[in-house]
Amino acid sequence: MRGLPRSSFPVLLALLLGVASVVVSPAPSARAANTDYVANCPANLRASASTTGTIVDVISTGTGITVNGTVTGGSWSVTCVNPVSGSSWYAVIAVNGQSVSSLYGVNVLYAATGLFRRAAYLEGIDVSRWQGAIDWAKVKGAGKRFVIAKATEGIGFRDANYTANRSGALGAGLGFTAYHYARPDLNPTAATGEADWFVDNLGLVPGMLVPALDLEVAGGLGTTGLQNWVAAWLGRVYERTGIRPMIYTSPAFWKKYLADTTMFADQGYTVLWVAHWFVSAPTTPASNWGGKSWTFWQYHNCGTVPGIGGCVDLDRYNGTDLTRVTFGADFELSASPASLSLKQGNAATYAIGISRSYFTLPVDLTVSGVPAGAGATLSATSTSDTSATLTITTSRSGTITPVGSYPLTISGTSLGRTRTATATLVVTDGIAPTATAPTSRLYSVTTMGSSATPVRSSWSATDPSGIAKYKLQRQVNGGSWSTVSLSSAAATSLKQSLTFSDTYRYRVKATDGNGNTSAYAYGPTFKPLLTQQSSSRVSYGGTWTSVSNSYASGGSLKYATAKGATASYTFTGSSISWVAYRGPNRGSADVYIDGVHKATVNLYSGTYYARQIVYAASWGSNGTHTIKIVCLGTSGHPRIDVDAFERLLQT
Amino acid sequence: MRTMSDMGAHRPPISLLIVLALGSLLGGCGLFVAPQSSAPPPTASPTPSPTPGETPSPTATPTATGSPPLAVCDPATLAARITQWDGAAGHRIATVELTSIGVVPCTIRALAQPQLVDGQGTVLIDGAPPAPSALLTLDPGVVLTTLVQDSNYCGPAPAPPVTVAFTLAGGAGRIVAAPLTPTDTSGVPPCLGPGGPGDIEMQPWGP
Repeated sequence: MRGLPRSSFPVLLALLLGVASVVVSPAPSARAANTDYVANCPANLRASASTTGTIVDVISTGTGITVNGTVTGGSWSVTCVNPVSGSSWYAVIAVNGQSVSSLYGVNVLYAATGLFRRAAYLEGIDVSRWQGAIDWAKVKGAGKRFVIAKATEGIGFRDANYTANRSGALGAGLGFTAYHYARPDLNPTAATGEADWFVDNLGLVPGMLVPALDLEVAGGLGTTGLQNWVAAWLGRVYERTGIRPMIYTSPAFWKKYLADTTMFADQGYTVLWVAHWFVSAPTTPASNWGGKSWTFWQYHNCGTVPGIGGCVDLDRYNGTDLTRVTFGADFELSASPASLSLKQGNAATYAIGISRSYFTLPVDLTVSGVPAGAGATLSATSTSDTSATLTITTSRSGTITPVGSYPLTISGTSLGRTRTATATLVVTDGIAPTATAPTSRLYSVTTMGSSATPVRSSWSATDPSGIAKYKLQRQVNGGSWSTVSLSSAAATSLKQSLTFSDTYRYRVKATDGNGNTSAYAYGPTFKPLLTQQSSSRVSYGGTWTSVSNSYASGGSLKYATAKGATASYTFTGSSISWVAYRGPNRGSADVYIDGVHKATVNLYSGTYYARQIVYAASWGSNGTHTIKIVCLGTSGHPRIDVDAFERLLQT
Repeated sequence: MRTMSDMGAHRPPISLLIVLALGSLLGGCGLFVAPQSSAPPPTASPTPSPTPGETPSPTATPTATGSPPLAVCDPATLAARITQWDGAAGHRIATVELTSIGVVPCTIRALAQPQLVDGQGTVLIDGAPPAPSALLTLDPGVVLTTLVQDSNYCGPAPAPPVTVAFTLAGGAGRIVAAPLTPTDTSGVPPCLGPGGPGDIEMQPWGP
């Protein structure tokens, strides 16, 4: 088992106590991506997904495995740090970066999932011409995620296999970058020349990982000289590519030849590829690389990986996502539609696009610019997806969202960078008009009918956007509601002839200029009633004469000519009118309501008009009132008539 | 001080070299590759002497079926030299050239046991005994090459020059390659795994 970077395989078994159940034919549930896990305790690798499966090997605590999915198999139960149980098994394809096919001669082994935790690193390799031709599909299939290939050395040397390695690894979808083997011994004053040679041959394209300077030869330079050499090389590559390369070194070399300096880590060269073999964790030079720790770790010099003949270096990436070391990794946000019109009280959504270029980290989303009273909800506040939705809900009650135009800013933050998208939210009137219930009253001067009387109904509504139209409906004697035609869409009154003793009710709703419609506002139920002058409820003072008149309501009326003659009628209702004749010989009278003078009515007219409503008064609701008519004894035409009284009684 | 210009050109992978060797054989070139075998090398047989007056040709003649087996090459008839050292992330890679300087065809195995040795003959890193490998027939004048990679030398400072040696399979002797320069130590790999073993490997000899 040469090259397997495990210190030992302890005999101690993790006791799998579960009783074997029926063995299920393994079928990985998800094969889209390989995932790395680390054993929390010694764990069996079995030939099948069952506790009765043959134990092929026992891996020790801390051993890494690569799986390409899980299967449901026999149940298991074990104490591994804590008691765990289940029937889920990992389909293991690699152990510590080496494929199970190379280690055990099988394509897959199985391990109880409860014995592992998610690994904190990714496995990779570094290669040079030594490895010869490589089957990159097999390398990827073994769970490797990245490759670092030698590109150049000194000035003039180009690794013979670099082009093939580059195209093969990138083509297989592996993270890829190159390193330059520094030769300060050959070019002590030509660090930039080596950097140029490297960049010229690198073939850098977006999606590649941060390139590396392989520093393991001091070349006789002193500490300062070598530091300057490295600084010049790194600076030149940064100048030409915009990337701060990573440095490959061993802890011993860095301490011995570069005085364990932190200057490069401090200057932004934060990515360290440390070479430290056969240890469980590397020693990281330069005070843990300026506190940033190692990023890549070459931990073994002779691993076995499918697709590669012979030994190959094994590496790890300190993390589970390569985005932060990927050239050109970035993301942009977009919002669609660019502008959205939304009524108060309504909700609408923007589609948030997250355009990713080699950027696979989750992006944290926030929204600003949301107006008062409105709410913003993101489908995800942190997502690894390429889209999200933003739902804006405006309010038309409580804290009302003001009408207006608002620029919204959607921000995405990840890896210390923030990208934004803007969208406009136009809040429009979404509040329905406030409609006032119709009121109805008798009015003057008009002519009453023989069995009906004119009644005027009026209503109103208010709205910031103005009223576009009303819908008025009427109900007669408790029947169905029927729409009443208005003189115009926004008319606020109506005159109708209503039959005495029938009951009526009106309701109205209003629609504003933005299409918001109120609920119906209901007026009172009422009925027009007619009281003839001959009724006992009408009392007279002074001299009143009764006469028949075929034009008069009820065929008769009373009149007085003497100043001071009075007619009084006490009634209950919400509206009252006095019906009389008008003509050339009619004079004036004062009208009192509840003892208060309200009007002086002149009944004079050049032409005779019967059944004239000559005075009307109204209230909002029923009440008991007294109308009193006092003859003023107008000189030359003193006569005044009382033909009838009308009233509206709310029921 | 060597210059970078001597680092050599692109070299095909060794597996390809074997294939090319077979092709070369058919084309009348100087290397014959016998099927891989784990059997001991054939017993040395009388070495045919060249016809007086003939100039040894670097072109090998394939061993005809039924012909007596060729002798294993005497290390004294083989000259090895390092033509280049280059580095690879903790490793050193030597390009080694092997020339048949004898006057008759002979055979060697494609793999030997490589060693990194210093100027005092001290073995710095000792490779593993070779796996079974192809039997190569070398005509006089034939030049073969290989790559030798080493890593993780954690011992004391070696005496220059540092070079590589090959212990031939089957006890056929040992070849020490001429160093790149008389003072060269560039083949000494860094100590990246203190306490761990050094490693040295070779790829099969090929044209």
